[in-house]
Amino acid sequence: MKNARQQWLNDLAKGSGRDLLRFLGSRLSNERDAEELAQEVYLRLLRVDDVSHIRNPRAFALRIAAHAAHEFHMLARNRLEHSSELLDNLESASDPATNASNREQMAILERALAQLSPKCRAVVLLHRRDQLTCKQIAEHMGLSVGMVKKYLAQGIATCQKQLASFMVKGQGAKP
Amino acid sequence: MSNNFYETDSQKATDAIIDEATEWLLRLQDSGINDADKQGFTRWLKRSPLHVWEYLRAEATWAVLEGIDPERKMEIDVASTDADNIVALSHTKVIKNSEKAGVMSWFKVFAVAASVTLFGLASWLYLQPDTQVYQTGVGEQHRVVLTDGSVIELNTKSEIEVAFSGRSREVRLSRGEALFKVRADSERPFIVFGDQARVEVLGTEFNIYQRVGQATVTVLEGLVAVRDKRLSGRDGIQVAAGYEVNIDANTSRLVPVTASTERVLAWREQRLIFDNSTLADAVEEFNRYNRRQLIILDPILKAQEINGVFDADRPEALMRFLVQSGSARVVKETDNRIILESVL
Repeated sequence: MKNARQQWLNDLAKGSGRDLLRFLGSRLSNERDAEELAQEVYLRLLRVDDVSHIRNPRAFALRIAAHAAHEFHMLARNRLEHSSELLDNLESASDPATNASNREQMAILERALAQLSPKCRAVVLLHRRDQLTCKQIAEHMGLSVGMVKKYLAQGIATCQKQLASFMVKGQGAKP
Repeated sequence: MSNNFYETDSQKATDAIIDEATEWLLRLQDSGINDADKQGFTRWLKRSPLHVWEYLRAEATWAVLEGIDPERKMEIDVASTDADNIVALSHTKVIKNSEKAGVMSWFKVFAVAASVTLFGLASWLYLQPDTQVYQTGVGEQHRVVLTDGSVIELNTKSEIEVAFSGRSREVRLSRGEALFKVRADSERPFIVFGDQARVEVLGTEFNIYQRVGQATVTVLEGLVAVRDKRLSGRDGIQVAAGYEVNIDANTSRLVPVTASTERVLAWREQRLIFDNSTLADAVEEFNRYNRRQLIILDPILKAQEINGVFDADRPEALMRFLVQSGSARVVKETDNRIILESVL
């Protein structure tokens, strides 16, 4: 177990991206940690002055997040030496397939997709699930590439909003 | 108690940010992104931690969706398309190696570049083309009229960043204190981000005083939603006119208390009002406004309480008051500082 956690932290430190995204995904229902992370990433971004040498800003932003996530968890680990709660979270995050909240998340995403218009849903499924390119989808559906992207953006945003409202409910209503 | 006010307004603003986040996510995947796109994206991210957060969530949602419906139960049925063709394709998972390899190599290449950037750059970027920055020096006060008609009055040693878009009005209070008179606009919520607090309103008047590790939000008119950034979730509370909330490291729950609105209004007239304040706090207040700093050496004097009204730009008045009341003596007096200690 300990090795698995170490491996996960190492992966994160290496910034392989995919692990970070998995981390973020598993944390969608634990907003507090992730928000603290976002705050940290934000502060680091403020220091970035010249963007001309950044070839890929998307990878760049994720890279900064990976760094922050790594340090954030090293810190949390030191802070919570006597509590196993966070370590347990780390371990469960390292194996999202067995993570109950991960399954719940999938259920929410499926419900979100069901709410989309048929075209929009088709675009999202073809692109994410079936890994077709926007161009391929455009050809198959008789749409312009621009429209495919529009549907894709709309679909992703809807999923994200659904996950957000789940998060709010998950926090429990205030007395 | 209902949180509807907060939820509805904040939802609108958050939804707008989510829409923008997904637009960026997709745009950045195009091969032909130019410097303007990069600058635009970085600038957008820098607008607030909420922008960063929603962008990271967009990336996460994007990645998680890859694992959706692994058994392929969801039908793709579009009336205007050749249904057979699409269904057949969806059963054969087409893995695009080229795209995946591309993603991985970006990360490798930028691993090095990003580390260098992250740790090598010391300069702060605040002056962005579409973000207005206003700041005041020690003892200065400044009144800013924004494009929507809202007015911000900046107190001494303060700084704000204003970023307006068609969807929201955002202000970041980087430091110090500011009084906001917000022009009502139901389409564009007005959000103020501080280090500790996040305040959201439609149209009202309120003051934020931000110190290191501490913030006080005082509402003079209307109703605002305040949220402690450290506390989990979207637990915001509503604060009505005449009330204020204080947020510091020990805050576990936001509780509105009756506000000292006179204090808030007094700063605009450069007056300081102390009502059972400790001398340590009083001295800190004076020192915000003046280059000539008051310094108290011993803890006994610091803990002493004081009541009264003073001109903010005359620290000598406090010194004289303390000496004449017999509680302090002057150890040293120069152009830059006045050092006091207890007579005991």
